[in-house]
Amino acid sequence: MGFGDARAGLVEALRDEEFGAWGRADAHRKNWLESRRISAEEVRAMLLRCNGREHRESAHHGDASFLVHEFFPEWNGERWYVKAFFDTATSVWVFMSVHPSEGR
Amino acid sequence: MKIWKEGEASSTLCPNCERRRAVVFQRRTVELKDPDISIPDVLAAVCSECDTIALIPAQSTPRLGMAVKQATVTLNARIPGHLEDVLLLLAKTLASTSPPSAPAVLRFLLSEFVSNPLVAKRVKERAGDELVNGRADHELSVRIPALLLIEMDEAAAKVGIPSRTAVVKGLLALAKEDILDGRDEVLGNTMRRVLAAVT
Repeated sequence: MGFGDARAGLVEALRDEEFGAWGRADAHRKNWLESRRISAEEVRAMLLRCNGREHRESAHHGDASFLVHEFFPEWNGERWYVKAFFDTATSVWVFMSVHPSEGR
Repeated sequence: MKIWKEGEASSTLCPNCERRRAVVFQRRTVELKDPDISIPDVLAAVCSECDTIALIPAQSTPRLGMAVKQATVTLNARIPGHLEDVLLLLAKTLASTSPPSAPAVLRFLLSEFVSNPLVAKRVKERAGDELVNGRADHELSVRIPALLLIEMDEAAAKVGIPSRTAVVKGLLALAKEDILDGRDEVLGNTMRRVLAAVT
């Protein structure tokens, strides 16, 4: 799945509030969507502004059957970091990270 | 929108095992760390192998978000006595009929720090001030919203302030200059108005 399909899937998942968030103990710092520091609508808008150069994909280092997508959109004058994968078993996009970027 | 129910089973990528694992949806207490926030009764997919929360469905995120917004934590900072005097002077100076508490003053200053990049930059510049030096033998301990502490860390990292104590010391030095010395009437007036509303 390339940039276009991944972005379309995520945008739809955010519109329908049909997504998951990875279990992480620092969700209040690293997953603003999970802790609702940012709305699904805002994440959707930032992904829609994203282009193919602001995306990369790679197999998850622990389980290569999961393709992890990383997006680096610019939003409100700031670079953001969004990381997610599609889970075929639960049929949901799972957000691993959503936060302002600390690099790149 | 799919609504998951307790007891439903599936599988997903477990963040702890880093492999696809069987999961069962259960109501669990989510433990967030630094700052520590405990959120009970959250429906989550739990790994059948390691018992870690693997996935939080969208339906559980409003509960999580509400808990994060409502949580309070203690901010501790060791500062010189003269900076604690500045804090108490600020509370007294800004008093109208009922004086605002020193913690309310500090919470206001922290809110300015996280919401105004110019204030954050000026706090960073205070690091070399003579006023921030001195034996840090006074323990300041204030309850603040957990989200304010997180935003304070984020704003400090952005401008390169190394610690929470450095933020508090710099903020008090800045407030001394702007409010006690009357260099920024707008800030003083804003603070009076905000504190009158919350105290």
